[in-house]
Amino acid sequence: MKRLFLLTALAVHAAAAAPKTPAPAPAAYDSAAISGLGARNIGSAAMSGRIAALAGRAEADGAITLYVGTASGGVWRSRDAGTTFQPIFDKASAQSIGAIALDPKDPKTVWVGTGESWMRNSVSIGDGVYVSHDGGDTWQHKGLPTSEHVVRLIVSPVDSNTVYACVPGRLWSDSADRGVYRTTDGGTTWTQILQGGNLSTGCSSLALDPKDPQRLYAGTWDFRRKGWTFRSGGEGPEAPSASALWVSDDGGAHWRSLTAENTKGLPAKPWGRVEVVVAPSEANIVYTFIESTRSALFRSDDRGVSFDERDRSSSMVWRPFYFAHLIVDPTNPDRIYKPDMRLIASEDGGKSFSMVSAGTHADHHDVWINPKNPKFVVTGDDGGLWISHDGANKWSKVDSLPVSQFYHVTVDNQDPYQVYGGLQDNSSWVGDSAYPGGISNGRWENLFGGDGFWVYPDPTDANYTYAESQGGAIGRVNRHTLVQRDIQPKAGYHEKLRFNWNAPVALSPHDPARLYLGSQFLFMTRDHGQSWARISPDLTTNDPQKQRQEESGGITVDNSAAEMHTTIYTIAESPAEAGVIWAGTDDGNVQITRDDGKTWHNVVGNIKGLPASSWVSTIEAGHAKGVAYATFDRHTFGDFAPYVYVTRDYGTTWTRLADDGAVRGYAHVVREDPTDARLLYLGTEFGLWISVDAGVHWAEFKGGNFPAVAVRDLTIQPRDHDLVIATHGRGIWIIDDLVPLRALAAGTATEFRFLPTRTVQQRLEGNGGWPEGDGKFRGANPPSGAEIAYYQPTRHVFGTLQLQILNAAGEVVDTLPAGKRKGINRVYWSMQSKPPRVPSGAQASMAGTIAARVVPGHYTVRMTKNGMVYEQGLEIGVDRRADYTAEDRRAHFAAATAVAGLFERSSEVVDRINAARSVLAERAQAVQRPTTRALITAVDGELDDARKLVVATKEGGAITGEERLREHLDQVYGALLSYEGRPAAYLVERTAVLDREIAEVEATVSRVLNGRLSQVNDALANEGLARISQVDLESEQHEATAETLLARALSSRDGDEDEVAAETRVERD
Amino acid sequence: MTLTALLFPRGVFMPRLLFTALPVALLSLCAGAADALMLNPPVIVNPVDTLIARHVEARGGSERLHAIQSLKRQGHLVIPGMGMRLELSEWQGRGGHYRQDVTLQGLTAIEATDGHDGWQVSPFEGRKDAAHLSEDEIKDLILKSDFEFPFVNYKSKGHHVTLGAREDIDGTPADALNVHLADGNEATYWIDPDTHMVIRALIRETVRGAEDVTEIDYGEYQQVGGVWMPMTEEIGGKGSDPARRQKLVFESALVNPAVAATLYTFPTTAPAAGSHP
Repeated sequence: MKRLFLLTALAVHAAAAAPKTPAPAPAAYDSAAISGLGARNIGSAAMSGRIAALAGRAEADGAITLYVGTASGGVWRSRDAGTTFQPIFDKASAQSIGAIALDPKDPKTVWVGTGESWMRNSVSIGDGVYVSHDGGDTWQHKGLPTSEHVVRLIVSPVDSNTVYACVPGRLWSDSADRGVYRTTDGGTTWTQILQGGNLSTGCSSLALDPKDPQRLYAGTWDFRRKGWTFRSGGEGPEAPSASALWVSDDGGAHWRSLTAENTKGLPAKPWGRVEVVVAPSEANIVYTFIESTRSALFRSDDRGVSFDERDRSSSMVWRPFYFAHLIVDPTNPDRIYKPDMRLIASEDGGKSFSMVSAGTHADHHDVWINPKNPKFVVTGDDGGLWISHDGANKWSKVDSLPVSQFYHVTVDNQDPYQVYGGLQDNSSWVGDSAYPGGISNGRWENLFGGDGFWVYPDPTDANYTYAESQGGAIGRVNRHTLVQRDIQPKAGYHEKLRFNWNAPVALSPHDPARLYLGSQFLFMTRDHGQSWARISPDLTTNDPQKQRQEESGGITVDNSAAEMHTTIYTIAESPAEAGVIWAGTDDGNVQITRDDGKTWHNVVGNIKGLPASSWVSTIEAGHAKGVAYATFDRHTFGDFAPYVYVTRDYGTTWTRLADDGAVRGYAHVVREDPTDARLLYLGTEFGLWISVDAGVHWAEFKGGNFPAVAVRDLTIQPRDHDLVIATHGRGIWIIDDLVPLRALAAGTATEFRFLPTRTVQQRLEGNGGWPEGDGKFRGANPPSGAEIAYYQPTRHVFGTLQLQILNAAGEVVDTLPAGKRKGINRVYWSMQSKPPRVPSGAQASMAGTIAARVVPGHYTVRMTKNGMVYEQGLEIGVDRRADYTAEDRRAHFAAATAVAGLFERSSEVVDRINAARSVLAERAQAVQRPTTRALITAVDGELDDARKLVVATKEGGAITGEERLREHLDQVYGALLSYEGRPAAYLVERTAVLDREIAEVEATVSRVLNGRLSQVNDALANEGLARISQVDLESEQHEATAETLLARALSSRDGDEDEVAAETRVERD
Repeated sequence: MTLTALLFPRGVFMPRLLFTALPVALLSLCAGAADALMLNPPVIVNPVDTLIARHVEARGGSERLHAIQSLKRQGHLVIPGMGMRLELSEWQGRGGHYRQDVTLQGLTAIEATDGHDGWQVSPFEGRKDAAHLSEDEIKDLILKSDFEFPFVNYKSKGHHVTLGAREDIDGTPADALNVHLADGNEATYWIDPDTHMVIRALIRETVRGAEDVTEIDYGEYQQVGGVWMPMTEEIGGKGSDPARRQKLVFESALVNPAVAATLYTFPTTAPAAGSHP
């Protein structure tokens, strides 16, 4: 890059005259510096993600507004009954949603409680309550920051400032910050109006009597999760629990506990999760679901004075910690929905339930029913959002919610590469990183089943992938037949293999046949799972106190492998040294072998300051010998700080790289850039952070509106230098081309500078996709064109900012607008020069609207910024997939240029015709003799006939079928543009034919202008009128070509505008 | 009435530096941070008006801005991804006058309103006669006609303005002005606190009962008639990728051009544009 001198006086003026602004501070390395990299979300919404909470409103005009709270992907709003959705919570600092409430008195006020309450092992956390007073466009944080989970919000139907919050509170640790809260000042202050009986009991449900807003019902729930166990209720079915059911008649000031002793029909304690709702259409009817040793639905017809046990089928009582929500039809007190593994519904007040989830995914959590049309029902489950128009019998899937919860991501080396990953309760998938027309949901393919985790393309055989479901169930899957072979290694004599819920799978960077899998032992196969070798002893603490999963669940046993502990959780073989393998365990061991598994050393004790038993979420083996990074996730101890360390001596010493001050959220993954070790990428529960100085400073990445979503895994596609991000709640995102970022690793610039990019190719541009309506997610492709990257320390506001492209001869071939933002900017040049000039016809010549792409080779990018000029070279190559050579490209460009030349000649001949006809029309106004007038009319007609040989002139519709020279040129030009290789001979021949045909018209016009016009001139002379000179014609033609005819017309209307005011003109070309 | 006139109604000399610093001090007063500086009687300053006053002053002052009755800008429209550049002319005038001409191959698409009626010409597929626009579409054009931005003199325009939270606009913390337009639509304008220029707008319009959201980034301000006017506009959906936005790039601007009265009005004769006699 070279820096030139001031260019234009006008630009200097603009810069000098700009209002004085404070001198920019020295550029800092911060979010603004890097977020201009942008990111694109490729979804998918084919496999959506868990929906935790719903709210909706039937609008007065018949529209339906839906608010969808996702488990870890924010809040989405639809104003068209679920056809399209927009994320409206992306700027909030937490994306896990527990509750949504609409103000009954103010349709623009929406309350959101963050922190999902379906307390599975992978549940995220929130940071309090938010309110929007503009329907969800903007949000204010409104307190309860330490609540972590909110299950329900209720806005008083009589006072918008009074809101109740039902807060289960912390899942992983004791806290008094839980129970029922009330605000009477719109969220400015909150009062805890109901506490649980101990520090692990919070609110699980809250209901308000619609006829008596002072009467409240609440459920409280004693619960606790640890890394190795969970309890809903006490430590066992009969153990003490503080769970209870409460009622208040004074708006929560005083509460009375309802028990078997004082309320007929309730079960004996201890209880687990408690849900309570009031029928909106009949306030005397109260339903409660109570988890106990006799879990069941109960109904009261007397406002909770007494209850009657109703359904207690297996569908009703299945996994109460995960399914404990009741929704009563707002128009029918006997119609109840219970989201469960299947959605079940009762029409008889809860006496019986039917499974109504039909073709939905499974694991339902909420239902919304249109109060004006109860046939319109919406449900959310672990697979996304579903809409029924027939009262919950048949369902349509919403295909526009890309809230998939990935655990891991890998890529292959196809071109474009494909992306592989496994998702929470949504199997393992492979999808395209790019596809003509966009990455539709259909471009993703299901590979396996269950909960999905690691997926790898088999590097030794592209026909296969390895895919994994929960508990280390690994299979080898044929990409064509989709036949799955179970290759999970089995236990030995009297042995139990402990595979984590999210068991680690890794490939060797040295031996493509080598695949690792971790239980408490490290397994290795070199024959696609035909045999496995154990290459480690038990690498965990093997603590028996953390292996009692069969007792997990509290009142209702729940042992799904989600609590399996004392397992290997992460595996990484050093790319710098074969046989150096790292393994991290969920119970806090960091193990290394330097002899391919013969001996192992636990080096976690060398990590100073790291609390014991910290879950090792990732070990990343660095690209230099001895280097490794480790992230530790202590959120299962209630500690949400990021613990990130590096060792450069095989684990002998460690240095902490990030803490609460630099990064927010517990750490899931760290990756070292394969090209520049100063670049580190860190995924936490609250987003993506990037360091360009080996972890000294971190900046949050917000590019492409990337939200504060959990980043569970990261991988870099080495050929394309893309960072592929697996989010747990918003699908896969890609930061295309990290090369400009790497340039910042040398230090943040303090002034404008160009940044290098990856090699520019003229990518083949296919034509794919098909209209699918507005309700389908479509992932974005990488921007097309030649990437131009630069850095500027502040936003550009005043004066010119323009990019020019110069060819090797120094000629400007294109000019394009430049990005204005602070930090890294990317601009994409289409690699086209100016399109041909096309004669105006009845309609547009479509192929002629664009230019052929320039010949690959060397170009120069010139940036003009307030008169300062900067230049950088740009090398353009051919797509590596192309079946043609650079020489072919030159032949193609020459052929296209030849047709463009014919367009130009046809334009010129039409200009000549139009100019002559214009002059003739002007002269005709003064003509007196009929013979002269007739002659002018005849000549005008001859010229117009010639024009009609060049362009189609029939107007009135798009499909006239009229083809003239211009249309024929357009056909040839379009055919040429469709393939950038050596042009077909028949196209070249056709070009020559059209050349001849244009020449004929040119000759005809010349004959008229040279011959017939002299007759006109003689006639004009005979009338004493001025002859039409060549100067007249050229002058008229010049005007015609200088601007469009319309512009001319407008210019004449504008009158003497130049005398009215001085014009400001920007020098751009 | 401008802030200057409000505070110094009798021609009190106010040094320029003081004018710049004063709103900051007054904002501090509003926040209760400087009791010692309280005037007697206290001056209640609306932070919205303060922000707008700064903006107007930075653009060249209310006198120069008010002197502009209309603005004509010419340049080109860049369609992303297709390498298409179309000639562009735009007229904005007080009273809701607006016209935009986009020309390709001598065919000109037009959208225009005279503040009451609105019309369009869509010639690229063979028709050059004008067609009426809907009321919702006319509202959009009337909003586009306001070269001042609608929050300037918002009261006289019938709008209501509230202050939004400061937000990060692509790395630049910017102050938000929420404009509740007199026609029922909503718009938010973000002002760079360093330059006081509008750098982004989010327009929320109701079209046939459904919300239509457009985000516009403004840049490359140039002085036109002594007033800073944006010479680039990048238009897309909310949060859209900059690489996929339509870009209006203006090469010239002219204040108070003489125009025919028919420029904005529905053409009474066809063809309206682009065809040779």
